This record gives sequence, C-alpha cells and structure tokens, in this order.
Amino acid sequence: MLTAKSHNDFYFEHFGNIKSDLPGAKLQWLSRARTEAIERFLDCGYPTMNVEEWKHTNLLKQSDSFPVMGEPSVNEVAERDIEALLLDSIPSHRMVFVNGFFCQRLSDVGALPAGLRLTTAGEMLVEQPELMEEHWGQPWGFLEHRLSGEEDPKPHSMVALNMALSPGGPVIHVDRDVSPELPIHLVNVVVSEASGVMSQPRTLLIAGEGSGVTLLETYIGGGVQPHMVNALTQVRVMKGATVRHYKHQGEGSNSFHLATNLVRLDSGSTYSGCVFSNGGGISRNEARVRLEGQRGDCTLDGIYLGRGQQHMDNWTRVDHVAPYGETREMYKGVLDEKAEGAFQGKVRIWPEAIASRAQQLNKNLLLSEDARAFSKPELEILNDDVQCAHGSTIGDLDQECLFYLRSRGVDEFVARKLLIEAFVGEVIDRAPDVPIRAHFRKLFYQWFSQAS
Amino acid sequence: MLEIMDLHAAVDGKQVLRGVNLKIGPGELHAVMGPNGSGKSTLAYVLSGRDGYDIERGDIIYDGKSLLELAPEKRAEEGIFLAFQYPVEIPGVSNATFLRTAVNCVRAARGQEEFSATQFLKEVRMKLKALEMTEEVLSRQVNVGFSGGEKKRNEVLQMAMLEPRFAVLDETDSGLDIDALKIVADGVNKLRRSDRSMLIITHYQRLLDYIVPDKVHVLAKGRIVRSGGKELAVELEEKGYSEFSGAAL
Repeated sequence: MLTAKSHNDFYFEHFGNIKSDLPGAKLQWLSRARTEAIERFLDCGYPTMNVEEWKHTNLLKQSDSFPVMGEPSVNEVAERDIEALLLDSIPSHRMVFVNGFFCQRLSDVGALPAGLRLTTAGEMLVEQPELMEEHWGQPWGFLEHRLSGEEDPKPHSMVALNMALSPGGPVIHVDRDVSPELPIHLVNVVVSEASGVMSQPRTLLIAGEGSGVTLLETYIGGGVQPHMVNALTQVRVMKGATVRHYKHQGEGSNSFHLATNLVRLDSGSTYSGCVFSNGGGISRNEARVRLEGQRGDCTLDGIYLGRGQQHMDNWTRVDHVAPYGETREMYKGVLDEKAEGAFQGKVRIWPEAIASRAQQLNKNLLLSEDARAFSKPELEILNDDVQCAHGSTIGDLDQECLFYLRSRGVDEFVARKLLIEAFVGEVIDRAPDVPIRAHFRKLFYQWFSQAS
Repeated sequence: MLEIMDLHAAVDGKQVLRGVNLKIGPGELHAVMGPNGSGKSTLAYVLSGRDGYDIERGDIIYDGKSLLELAPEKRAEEGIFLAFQYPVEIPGVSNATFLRTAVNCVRAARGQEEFSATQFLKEVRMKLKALEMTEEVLSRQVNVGFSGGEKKRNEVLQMAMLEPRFAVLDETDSGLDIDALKIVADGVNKLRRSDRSMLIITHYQRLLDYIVPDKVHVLAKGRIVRSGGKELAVELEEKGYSEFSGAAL
C-alpha cells in the first residue's frame, strides 16, 4: 500500500528518471515548466473531495490501487483490435497512441490537405519550438491568469502531473482559412495486461484565423490490471475559427480516466464540444472554456452512460470575459444498476462581458433504484446585461410513454431502447457533424445491447 | 369475440369496477356511456393491460382465452388496440419510427413479413390520405405539439396501421371540434369490418351520431346498469345520467 508520502516519493523519483528522455528535454523553458509542474503536484498531492471541484470523485480512496507507470506495450495492439474497438472507421486522418506513445504502425494519417499539420509534440518541439513555447511554455501563467480569477483555485494537480510527465502527444495545427474536409481522429489505446499503466496523453490543437476543423478523440482499451489515463487537451480557437471537438471515453472497467480540456476562444470564433462517456470504472471529464474575444460561441455537451459500479463525473467551467458571447450546455446521463453520475457546471459572466447569453441544462435518467445522480448547474453573473438560464432534472423512464409503446405491440426492451435513445438523441443531434452523430448512435446501441 | 365476465377491478385499494358483464360479437360495435367516475377509462385500461389495476374477480375472455395474464404488447399482438383518451407525447421519437417499430413488432409476432421502409411508406401514405392527414406528421415527434384533433387522428392512424381485431376507443371525441370529429368518425367507420369489433367509450351521444353503434350500455358506479340499441344514447342525451347516480349499489 502506498501512502501519500510514498506516492510523492514515487513520482519525484520517476520524474528524475525520465525527464532527460522526454521530448524537448534540452529546451530550457520546457524543462523549467516541467519542474514547476512536478513541484506543484508534489505540493498539492492528489485533489481531494474537500475541494468543491472534486466533491464527487474520490481519488484518495482509489490511490492504493494506483498503478505505477508501465512501459509502453505498443506491440501488444493489433490493427484488428483497433478496428474492433472503434466499431467502424470514420474516414479521417487517424493517429493512434498506445499508452500515451505515438504508434506509427496503427496510424493512418492519409493525405493531408495543404495547411493542415498533424504531428507529435516531439517533432514540433524540434521544428517550431517557439510555437510550442507559446502554448506549453508558461502553463502556470496561462492557467492562473487566463483561467483562474483571484478567487479560483489553480487547475488541479492532475493537470500538473500531466504537464510534468507527458511524453507528448499529437499536435494539430490548422493554417489560416484552411478547413480540412475530413475529421482528425486521435485514438488513445490503453493496454494494461501484465502491470498497471498510467498514461499521460497531452494534445494540442491550434485552429488558425478563419479555419474550421473537426477533432474526434477516442479513448479505448483496458486490461486486467487497473490503470490510469490522465489526459490534457489544449485547444486554441483563433479569430473567426470553428472547432468541433468530440470525445468518446470508452475504456474498460479497470480504467481510471481523468481528463481536462482547456479551451480559449478569440473573437468571433466557435467551439462546439461533445463528450460521450460510457467507459472506465471511474471517470472525470473536465472542460474549462474561456471566451476571450467578443462574440465567442461555445457549445459544451455531454452524454454519460453508466452501469455496474461506474462513477462518471462531469465538470465544466466557462468564463465569459468579453462581450456578446454565447454558451449552450446540455449534459445528459443515463445511469443503471449502481452507477453514479455527477454534473457540476459553472458559467461565469465577467463584468466586462455585457450582452452575454448562457444556457445550461443537465438531465439524468435513473434506470435502477440504486443508481445515483448529482447535479449542480451554476451561473455566476457579474453584470446585469445578460440572458441566462439553467436547469436540471433527475428522474426515471416515463411510465406513460413506456405503456403507450407497449400498448402498440412494442416489447418492453425495444420500448426502453427507443425512449433512452430519444433521451440521449437530443444531445447527439446537436453535433454539427453527421458522421459523428452516426458514430455516437452506434456507440449508444452497443452500450444498450450490453445491458444485463 | 370478447366477453367480460363479472369483472372487479380496484385502483390503489379503491374499487372501481364492481362486476362488469359485457359480450361483444365479431364485427359488432358497442358503446359504453356513463357519467364521470363511473369506471369507463378504467375499463379501457384494464382491457389494454395497463399496470396499477388489481383484478379482484372475474375475467376477460378474448377468442376463447383469458387476456388478464398477457402483457400489453402481447395483447396488441393478439389484436387488441386502445385509442387513448389522452394520447401520450414522446419527445425525441418521430412518428414514423414509432409507427414502423410498432407495425413491424406486431407483424413479426403475427407471422407476417415485416415492412421495408418503402412498403411502410406506401401503406402509411394510403392511411394518411383516408384521414386527411399530411405526410409531414410522420417526421414530427410523437404527439408533441399536436392539436387535440391531430392527436386523435394520430390514434386512428395507428389503429389503421396495426389492423386490430378488437379496438377500444376511449373518449375519442373529447377535445374535438365538429369538423375534426367528422374526420375522426369517418376514419373509424372506414375501419369497421365484419371481423373487427369495437368498443366506444364516451360521455356524450354526439360521437354516436357519426359512428352508429349496434348496442349501447350504461356504466354507472362500476357496473353495466342498462343496455339497449342506439336509441338509448339519444335518450341519455335528453335525460342525462341522473337516474343512474344512485344505481348499482
């Protein structure tokens, strides 16, 4: 059993062992940033439930079974495994990472259109270190000043842990006014057969002025041993650009999935995010979005489907810093058996952000008496020229609807499927990309058909 | 075809049906009339198999078999149909998906081939026309935002597609203006066949001007207290239900 002290010792020693092998280790700004990050983690330790942000996810309870960092077992994954896990292959530019490490063999990037760069942080740190420094160089400056007001806690220590230990993940750079036709598909596979694995995928997407891009992140895999995915995705949407950002979080039940998305929107830009989670024993998906320029447009959606003992936490924070911005959030959870789901979402309208609009909605469907949902939508409005609304519901399947369908000859199983599909379909159909909607529907059918 | 024998039913421990007897032959159309609270809707729901009703005594025999043990979907497969007094809204499910799922479930259970998308569309178009409905209704969510008349027509559309052998129409006239009433009645009349029986539950005689019943029964305080021909409906309209208010106890 590891104590908090021994966790610290472990990470400190581990960082010492790997730091000189990390990409860009010779870059002074980067090694300084990594050192600051590991120190911050060692100072803070794991986030605890005493912090409002982590009220629903108890890391400490789980920390005894925290895996040690494992070696990347890239060779254990076959192409057919990937295909099977993906359900279908959406035509895309695909990069595959196994336990956080790029796997050329399984990737299928295809022909990239002019103006789209799809590479790894390792390469980018060699080719364009100044660009990387802009986004990776001052994590604390960026995070504290941009994402935290004086009353806000710093981003949690798991972000710091990723920043210190990540071997670097994909970097996507879209040039000004370029709109790739195909989505970019990042597949993160976890393999944890013999020993536990902790992976630290870190993704960077930069959408240049007036560009438009679709990104799908898929987290799959699993194994016999408990393992942890601690992901960090940074998205920068420049003036007038559009980013459609989807995620499927579908690892096995031995997985511990923590993820943080940090999104910055310049003026007139659009960010549309949707997270579909049905995997992991414990998962927490966090999104922090900041509307820094005027007329930013943000959609944050989520679907979480849980059963067994799954715990699924969703945490969002949107800051309207500039005027005329709009945010829409819709999170829906379906929880069966003993699953637990949580939604905590805050939209903060800053004093300068006049004429802002925000809508927040969280709905939960409990399919069993033992399932539980926590919901806390929150608006913090610091000026009086805004239109904001929020709401949440927790309920079971509508018995009237169920009976109506059955009275028409639809058996109970099919009737339930239709009704639950309709419930989550409202979120799925908000996705701007039709192929992604179809993909999410398939994932839903697969999830539903596995009901015991 | 269908025989209700000494049916006693309670809701939340309160007796609602206190010994209903009713026999409906093949192709016959019967009307059950009665004051509010007489148990009319309970009778409709018990026939369709809705949860929440304790059948304390009696039986419902359909085609020589008891219905009581059958789940609602099994009853639908056997040919029972209930047109709801308050059709249920199902947000997020299109009318087309709803109808096609239902029709194909029932067809599969009856040993008939399931409709392909094209066949389904062809069938449903014919029925829509008969009910003076437009195809647009198929892409809308089930009953969501429908007017009273549209909801009732949608019920008759479902009945037409599911081809039941025994249909119960619960207060199908409620909430309809006279034009909508005529269209709905016309739609029901077109579905009358020698091998299809119907039970029409209504408070007012008005609907029976357009759908002419073979027999009329008065339900009061959970029992059939009087039966007669179609002229009984006219008499009830004139006199009201007051003479039955103390009956059946």
